Amino acid sequence: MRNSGRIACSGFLPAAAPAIFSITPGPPWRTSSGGARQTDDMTALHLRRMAAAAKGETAIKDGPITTELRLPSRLGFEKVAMSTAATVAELMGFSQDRIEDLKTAVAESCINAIEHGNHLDEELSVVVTLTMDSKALEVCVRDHGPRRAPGGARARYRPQDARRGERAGNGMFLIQALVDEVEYVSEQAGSCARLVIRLKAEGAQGA
Amino acid sequence: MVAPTKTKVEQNDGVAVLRFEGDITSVSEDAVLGKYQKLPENTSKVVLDFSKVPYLNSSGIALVIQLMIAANKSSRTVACFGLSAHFVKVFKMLGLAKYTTIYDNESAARAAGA
Repeated sequence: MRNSGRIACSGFLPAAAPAIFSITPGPPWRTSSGGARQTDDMTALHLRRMAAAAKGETAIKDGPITTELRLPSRLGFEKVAMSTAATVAELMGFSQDRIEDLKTAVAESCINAIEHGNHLDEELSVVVTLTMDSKALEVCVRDHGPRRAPGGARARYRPQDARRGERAGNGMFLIQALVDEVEYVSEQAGSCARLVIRLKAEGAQGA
Repeated sequence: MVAPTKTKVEQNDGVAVLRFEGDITSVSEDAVLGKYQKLPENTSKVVLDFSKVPYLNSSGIALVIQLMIAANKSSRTVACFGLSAHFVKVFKMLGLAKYTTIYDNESAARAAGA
């Protein structure tokens, strides 16, 4: 566990893909690898940056910082992503109402990935990558399913469309309405929902 | 992993108060629609108490919408209270204002339309 730089919390889930949490300074495509010393150095750097952010020094001068979660495809685990996203957004200085918006958008994206991407197959993981820089927080939610474009869900959604057991597009609608940018991307091994909330919008709202 | 929602139902003079406790999600159908469907026919007003609901997702909101639509079809008034500012916003964004009025507290929700 120490060498990988990841904290696995799978002990209570013997049959499920483990929930894994890792933090990586640097661009989002870098992964934490190498020996314990490298991991310790990276962790120390990360903690210094987080401490600076916590003091209100939200400018991240050395490039983006990435936090990654690997969740089993079981409903309820979206709350792990919610709380992590909230913590990162709080460190960046987002206001509480924007953090609540982000939590809902992240939860809905994870639920989509768990239900429609991975079809509740607990052997498949949903990977949530949170990348913070001085201007914005980007959240990518990856699953193993084909791309599910919103296709104008915002315009199509009507409350009276809600039917038994179906969400009738209200999840997609909320994601689009609550963050600054949403994009659905096909990838080689699945698809990714990319959400962005910007600190600039925060200032514009007078927060 | 997903804890079941509990619902306490209080009835008095045609007013039913459904007090939800716990998350409202896709597994909450019995707690939301099931409890609503068991209300006596003479119920004229339904008050929904969300003050002990820490988390509502879109599936849970869809169940609440179904309850509100059913109540509206039966000419019952629906009032809500106990929602956080965020979920008041979400309810309004999703158009629930068409089916319910959201109040700041229980006494206001009970008193409205009385």
